Amino acid sequence: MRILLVLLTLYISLFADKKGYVGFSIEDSTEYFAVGERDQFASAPQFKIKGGYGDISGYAVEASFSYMDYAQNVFSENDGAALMLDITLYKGWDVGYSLYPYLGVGIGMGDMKVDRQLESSLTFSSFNFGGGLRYVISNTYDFDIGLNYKLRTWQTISLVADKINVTSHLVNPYIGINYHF
Amino acid sequence: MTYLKLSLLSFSLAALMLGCGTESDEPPLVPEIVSIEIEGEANSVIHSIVITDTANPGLDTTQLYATVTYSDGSVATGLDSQLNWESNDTSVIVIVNGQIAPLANSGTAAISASYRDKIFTKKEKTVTIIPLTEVNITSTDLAIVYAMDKNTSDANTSSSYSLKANGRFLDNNITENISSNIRWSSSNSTVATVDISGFITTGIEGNATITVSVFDDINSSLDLNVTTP
Repeated sequence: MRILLVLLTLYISLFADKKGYVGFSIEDSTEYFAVGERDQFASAPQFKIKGGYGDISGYAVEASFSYMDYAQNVFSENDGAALMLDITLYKGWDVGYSLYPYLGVGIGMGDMKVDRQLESSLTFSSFNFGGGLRYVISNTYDFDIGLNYKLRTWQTISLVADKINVTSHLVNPYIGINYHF
Repeated sequence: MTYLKLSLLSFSLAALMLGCGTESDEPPLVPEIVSIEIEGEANSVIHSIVITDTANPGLDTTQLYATVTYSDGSVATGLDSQLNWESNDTSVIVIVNGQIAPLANSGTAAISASYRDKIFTKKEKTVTIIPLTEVNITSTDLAIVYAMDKNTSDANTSSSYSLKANGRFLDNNITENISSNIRWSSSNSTVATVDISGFITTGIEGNATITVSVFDDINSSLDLNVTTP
């Protein structure tokens, strides 16, 4: 038992020395759009690659790049995929048992291909916050599960005689793996 | 080995999540522009006093407007100021502030409406220009005697009178009170002055000739005999 505790302490301390990490996650999101009196939910799977620097039990900064494709057409008959970049600040805690819960807050921006008369793409920005739990698998890997909430503001859409401002909010659960170095 | 199992578990959960998405046949949430059509009469007959001044349209102008139809069935009309209007033959039609400005030439030109450099619609428009042939001075304040060689009227010193310019076009159409592209003048400002609206203010006794000119090509005059009442 003593040996096990020593080994556990050793690999966690080794893990703690690793400041940088890269990873990927697979996410699902349900986004709520409202335009005038109409509203619509749109679901979209997301794939994210990310890189960060910091302490798993302290503060860390992460940049992530995501690909998302809505299952429903929101802006045009032929909506394309969206690409987005998020910057997030995380605060994690060591609660033992190799578990590290964390909270994060950040901002993001992105671009989505659409097939409209006047727009071929729409940009958006977002305010993000969320939290999750990391489980340290080894001295280089952790398993990551969490939930993000994003408030998005989309580029104003022109209808010649009118303009439409679109906002949306979404919740996306995710799972992923990070490699620490 | 443990992380390998967890990796497999994560992929399985991801596959389960991604499998939840289904394609929807619902129309897009945000309305889309289906069409923009130029409205109004296809042909215009324009009584024009304009010869070359495209920046200052003449009497009859045709306001252009368009109707936009959206994918949700709603429509919006007007749009004259939002759209960019162009004519493919500027010797026939030029468009100033969303209005067809008459030129000297009759003919047919294609008008197009565009927005952000995207041309939505075109429409052929035939414009027939009917030129001004003469202009006559009238007044409700003065008793004007009309004659072939000159027009005359008596007026009092230190008084005010209002003149108007009526135009007659080639098709005998008469338009009262032409106000654009005309110039009023007085030959003797101590006897009478006239402003840009044809408003006369008399001074001392004497004679003055009041002239109204349309592009210096068509004009009419009034000999004013100012006396003390």
